[in-house]
Amino acid sequence: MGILESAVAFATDPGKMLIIVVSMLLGIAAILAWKKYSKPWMLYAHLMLVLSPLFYFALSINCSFSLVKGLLSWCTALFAKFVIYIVPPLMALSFIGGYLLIPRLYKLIAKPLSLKSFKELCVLTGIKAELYLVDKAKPVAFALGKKIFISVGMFELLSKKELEAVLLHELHHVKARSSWNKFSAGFVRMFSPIAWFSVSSVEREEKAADLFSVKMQKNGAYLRSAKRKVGVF
Amino acid sequence: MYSMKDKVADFDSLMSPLENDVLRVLWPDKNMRVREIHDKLKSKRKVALSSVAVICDRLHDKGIVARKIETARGGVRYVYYPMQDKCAFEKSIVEDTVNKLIESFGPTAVSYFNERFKKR
Repeated sequence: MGILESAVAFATDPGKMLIIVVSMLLGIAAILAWKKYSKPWMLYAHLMLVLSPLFYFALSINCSFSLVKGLLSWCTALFAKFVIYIVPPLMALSFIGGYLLIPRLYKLIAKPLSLKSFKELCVLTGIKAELYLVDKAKPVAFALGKKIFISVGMFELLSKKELEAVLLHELHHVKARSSWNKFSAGFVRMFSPIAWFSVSSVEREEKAADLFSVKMQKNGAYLRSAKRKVGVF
Repeated sequence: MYSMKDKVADFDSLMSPLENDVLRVLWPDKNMRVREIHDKLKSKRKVALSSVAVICDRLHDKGIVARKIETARGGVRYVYYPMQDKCAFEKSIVEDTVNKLIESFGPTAVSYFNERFKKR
């Protein structure tokens, strides 16, 4: 059986088509659920549900190049080969690269910082995190896993209370595992076209972190003025 | 002919006025924090702390000042210090400019310098 015949046989099989449609619909449901609850596992469920029909199709057809007759057959065979042999290693590589490499690269430009006020904040909030200092005059602060990176510029521009507000904001990111969610969103977007259209829930996490900071300090003024100062730079 | 005295150490064409001011504060006092530089400038002109921080960072990127991280009680901060003193800095600017002129105009520039310095 040639490539096109096997592809047509696959497409006209109602049982197989039903599996594919259901899988796609569940995938869309998963991305919608992620938008609402922003749990990273929903993103991976979405990726699996959306990609599995492709693998199913690629593995079901006779995708040997020796069977090629005409351009359409050739394209189908090339697509199937790509799905089977290129996509999985690409996914593994980008996942490993993103998850393991990025934090290590950041650690190269940063060094651990022990700060009494930060330790007190950790005890107060009950969140475990490490603080790293980035040698930059530009005020930046971000959380990566359980590590919080903060630049020298932050210390120079902000007052003690403002700094506390920023650290509380980042501590919430550590607790909510925001960096994992953000990384997952970027990773899934690389491989799922449907995810491109979903608005990220990253923005909402920023708001939640702000809210946490304001609630802990019982005052929103410090975070506001910190944001204003950082925005000017 | 204009008086050379008025033009000494006027880097306005090379740097922003604020960069100029920061350097003027930094040269005599050497090691200074951004806050200290800001305190000194504040009396002369209206300027925000963040602007001073930006300027210091820019001067650092240009290699005109260097900085080190200092750990204090409440946190960390940069201490800035000039790479060269005022005279050496001025000299390096003159040198760069002359080199650039000779590079671009070659013999014309050289013969102009000859003429010019014969007159004086």
